[in-house]
Amino acid sequence: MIPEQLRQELKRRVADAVTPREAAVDVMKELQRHCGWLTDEAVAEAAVLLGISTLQVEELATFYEMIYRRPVGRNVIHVCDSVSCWAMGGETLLAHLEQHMGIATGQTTPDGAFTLLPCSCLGNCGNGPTLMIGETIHHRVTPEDARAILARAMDQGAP
Amino acid sequence: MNHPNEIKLIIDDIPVEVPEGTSVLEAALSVDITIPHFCWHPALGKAGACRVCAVKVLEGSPRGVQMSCMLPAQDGMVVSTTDPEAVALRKGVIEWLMINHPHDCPVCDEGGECQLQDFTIAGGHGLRRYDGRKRTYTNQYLGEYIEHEMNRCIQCYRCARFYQEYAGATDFGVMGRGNMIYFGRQGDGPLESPFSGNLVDICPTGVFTDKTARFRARYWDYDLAPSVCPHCSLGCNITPAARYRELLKVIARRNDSVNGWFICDRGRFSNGAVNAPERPRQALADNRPVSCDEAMDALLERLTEFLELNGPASLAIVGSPRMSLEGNIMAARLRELLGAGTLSYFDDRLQAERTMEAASLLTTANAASLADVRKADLVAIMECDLLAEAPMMALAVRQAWRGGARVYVVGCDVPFDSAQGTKTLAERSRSPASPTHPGPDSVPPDRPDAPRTRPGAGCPPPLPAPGGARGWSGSRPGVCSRTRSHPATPRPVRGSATPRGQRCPHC
Repeated sequence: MIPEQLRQELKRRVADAVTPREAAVDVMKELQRHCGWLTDEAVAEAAVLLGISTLQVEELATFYEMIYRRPVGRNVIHVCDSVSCWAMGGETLLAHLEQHMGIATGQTTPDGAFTLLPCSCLGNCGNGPTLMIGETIHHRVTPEDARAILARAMDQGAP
Repeated sequence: MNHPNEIKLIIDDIPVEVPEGTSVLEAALSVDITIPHFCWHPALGKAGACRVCAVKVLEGSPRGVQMSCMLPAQDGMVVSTTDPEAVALRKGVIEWLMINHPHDCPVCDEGGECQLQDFTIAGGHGLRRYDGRKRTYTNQYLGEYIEHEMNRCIQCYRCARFYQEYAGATDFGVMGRGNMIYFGRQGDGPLESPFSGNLVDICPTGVFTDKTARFRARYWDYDLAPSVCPHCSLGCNITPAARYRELLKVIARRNDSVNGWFICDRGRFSNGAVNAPERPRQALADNRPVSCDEAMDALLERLTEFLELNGPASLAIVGSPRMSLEGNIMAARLRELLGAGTLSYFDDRLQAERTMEAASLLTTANAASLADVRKADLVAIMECDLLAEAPMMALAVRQAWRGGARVYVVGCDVPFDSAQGTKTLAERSRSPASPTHPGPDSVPPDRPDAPRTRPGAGCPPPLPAPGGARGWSGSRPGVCSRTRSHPATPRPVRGSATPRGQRCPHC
């Protein structure tokens, strides 16, 4: 169940869109923000709001890699896994992060703080290697930078 | 005479004339030049997904290697399908498509009638170079009629495009992206579209195969004959495929002015009655097995006796609205021949009168084919549940609607959404608040400007139906035991879960 206020807000956004489907990403992102990830209940909720079937929501949800259909940690780290970043050491960065956090890509740290995901181009090819944590993009990330970014995120996330 | 919008181009040194808007692929096909293609399908159009229909444009714009399905034919264009560059690209693309394909042709029902086999060979990819791991999937249970084998998929998107766009159902589609793409449902379960069987025909390889005929025969084993579907009055063209005198499966047969490329599931999966062991296969005279000729002689003898004793006026010849047109014409001929007093096709007078009345209104000028319906600007459906009565007509109306036609339903009780095929009666009866299914007012994404339908707009009160049944469409209360209890009851066409309007397919 989502709060009535959120539901009304999403209804309004769907109504404002030229076609309901156009609001799909918006609706999915908001529901994800509320639930932490796009749960099965959220998919059903989105289907009702958008007037499409749950399968059709699933089609969209699984297309976009920043919509999570499985539980993720409090911070999701997207490491760019495309050719420009490879050329600038993206693979080394990803391997370093895996080692530093003790998890493989696709996994979440045991404390639930971080999920590490490889990601198709973040659109920052001139400044590779790139990673994104939360909604912040970081440029020319060295392994040292990455450790610092994690530490900062940890501090900010601490109660 | 040259049509003003006619385009002239040259493909492989053959001059071709096509109407404006035709793709180079279609233009080539029109002169029997086959360019390998997977995602393009005449009924679905192009998707530009498979990248296998490459040709080289020698003159015209843009030059160079192009995808022929995406390229509109232009005046003065010179195209080569045999240019080494185009041939090399096609060969490469086919090799990529085959990388994940399991090459399990010996155990695949599609083997022998597989477009992927044909085009792989045609493209010149005969030796596998890739020896890495293949992408594998878990298959889904899609009901008793369709077998799912995702590993064979070459991602042409035909199935999802047919299922959602053409047929308007929403429980099957494409999930994921890139190399992790999956064509299926959200979870296991029978496909809900009453046209789901077309996935078998439309898939260029063996992702969807006919489960009812699984592992029974190869294409070359079948006795095939062009035929017409007997399950409603539309006359969709089919090819029944039999082996050892058993009807194994029914395949849609293309007829552009009737069913196009598709048939409904009732037409495809109702083989039970044909193969039923109870079906009379031996002629009997006085309960004695006789040859057919002997039986006919005996019948003639009895008839002659009867006519001599009682006179022809007391003889009735009985046909049926469920009998084929040919059979009913033969019944009328027999009546003429014997001078029988009564010829009956209907079980009540009102039904007969109405049918006569309706048939008398049809002229060659105003009768519309299914092809006409697909191109109509306005469709009025008069007190008729199309999905239950004649599913392919509902599919035709949906195509008109997709093309911008206004659709009205007169007669109140069956809203237009069933004609669209976006929602079936079965779903409606399940739960009005089911999150899976949009309400009747929802506007499907493929037609954002869709006019809202007006169910029952200005509709007259329904005609009184005789005996409480629904006139010419209703099934009568009395049905035979085969209808009630046959073990291999064919799947009712989904969307007609209500008993009303269903016809027994058993005889």
